[in-house]
Amino acid sequence: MPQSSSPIAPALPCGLKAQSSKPKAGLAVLTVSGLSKSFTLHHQGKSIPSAYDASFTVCAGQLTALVGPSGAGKSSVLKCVYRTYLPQAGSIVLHGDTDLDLAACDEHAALRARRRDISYVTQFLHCLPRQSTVDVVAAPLVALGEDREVAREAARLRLRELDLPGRLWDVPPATFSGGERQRVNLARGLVHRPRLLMLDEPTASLDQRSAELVVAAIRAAKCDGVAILAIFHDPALVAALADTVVTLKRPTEVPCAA
Amino acid sequence: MVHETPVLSVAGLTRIHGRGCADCVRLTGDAAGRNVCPSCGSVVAVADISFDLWPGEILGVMGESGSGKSSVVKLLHLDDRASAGSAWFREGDGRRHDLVAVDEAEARRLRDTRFGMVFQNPHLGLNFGVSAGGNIAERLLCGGERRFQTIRETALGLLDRTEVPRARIDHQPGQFSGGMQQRLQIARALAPKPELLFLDEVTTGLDLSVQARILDLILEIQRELGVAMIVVTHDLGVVRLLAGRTIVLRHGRVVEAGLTDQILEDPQHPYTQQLVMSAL
Repeated sequence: MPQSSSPIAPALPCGLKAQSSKPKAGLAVLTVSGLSKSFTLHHQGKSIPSAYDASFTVCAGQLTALVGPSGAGKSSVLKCVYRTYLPQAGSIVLHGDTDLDLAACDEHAALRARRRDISYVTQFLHCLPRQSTVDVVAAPLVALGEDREVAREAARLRLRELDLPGRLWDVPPATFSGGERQRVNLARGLVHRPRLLMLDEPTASLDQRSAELVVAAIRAAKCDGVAILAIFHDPALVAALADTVVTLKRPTEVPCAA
Repeated sequence: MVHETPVLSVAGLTRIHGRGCADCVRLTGDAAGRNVCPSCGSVVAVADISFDLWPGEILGVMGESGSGKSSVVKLLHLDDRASAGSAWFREGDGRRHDLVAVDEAEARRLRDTRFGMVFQNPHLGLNFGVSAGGNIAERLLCGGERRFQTIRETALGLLDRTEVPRARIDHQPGQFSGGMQQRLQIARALAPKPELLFLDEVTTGLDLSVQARILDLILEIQRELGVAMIVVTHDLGVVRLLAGRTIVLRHGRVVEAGLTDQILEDPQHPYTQQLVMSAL
């Protein structure tokens, strides 16, 4: 789908950015094959199916949108990629110098991929209490061993791009509005230039101005070569931003995975 | 930061109290639902514990009272000796020691200079007969430091880092609040610049604002000093905040191991599911 058709916000001028280090657009960053997830509740003796047999690819500089009815396991797929959920079947391959199957790799490799390669932004901002906004955003760079002041400068740059008022930078985000918080969330997700960005309803319950800023940031990340896997509640956003649309079916419509 | 060599590799760590028999391990544990051997009456505190710990990493050890959490820490801190298994500790200079097999002199050197321990009960981790500064100095003296000026300056630096007012350096820990005693314990533990820090239920029983300060301090220590830590707790909030990976113990066995958020959001073992569901 062409991004120029978006009614939400004008496309950012990609050409204005230095693009020497960006990944080659169109190169596969993540390949998910036959991914199924169900929850076994031992005490109830029940198995709750979630995602079933999901297969798709996410490419550099492109956005893959997961769509489907509530309960089809869209969020579960993101959580499996992030290794918060353990899938029952399938592979989740993060491509790189060597391919890494996130469904099977050891925990340290998964943690390394989280630190370096994969950002996961939900509609909620989880951060340490009493940390300033700049430090919240800088945290992923600090975790990678970057100098604290250099990390803070990169964080300020991202916050400026997302138009977060400077008077908020030095206070903790606890008291921020939903829109401000979400911009902090996205700034933190992008500050260390991950190769894969996962978004779970990043514009849910945002005012129009905040939503526009978030959409502009998503476009800019695409221009930067970030591969994006996203869930949107708004079909207009899917139409405006997605290069590929993957439809997940509710697991009751498919054969039992057990 | 790519760390390729674990600072600690534990394999098959086992501690049996009593004379033990050939069936102790087989007849106890999670499947058997007990840790007293029905054949010989020995208590199997922990058995077949295996995990690794990487430099700068915080590992959570979770489980109910009696699950063997503290036994694991005692064995690794060399306060108790294992019956079987191995636990290879790698010093900063590359030397490796099997903590199950080291002799008593080496055990003392490792405890005094390479390890730090913070207990739930400050009376176990502090000397209440000497001043705050004296508590830190004791650890430095054990490590071989003899220069008064260096000891004094290091002590003041550690008090600053742990937010204990410098003016309290000559006061005894008995005059401190519970939170400040805990911070002094951390200062004392950090004195010899340890490579491995054990934290055993350090926030249990403290009020919330004091807890938050201690947890902040622990994260700051991890960020700035890169010390590897083993955090024992029954508090899910504490592991969520501190630990990248967590192991869950029950009846002296590891019943589940994984990334902390996976353990909390998609627990696999019936016991972990029960534990997590009880808390939320």
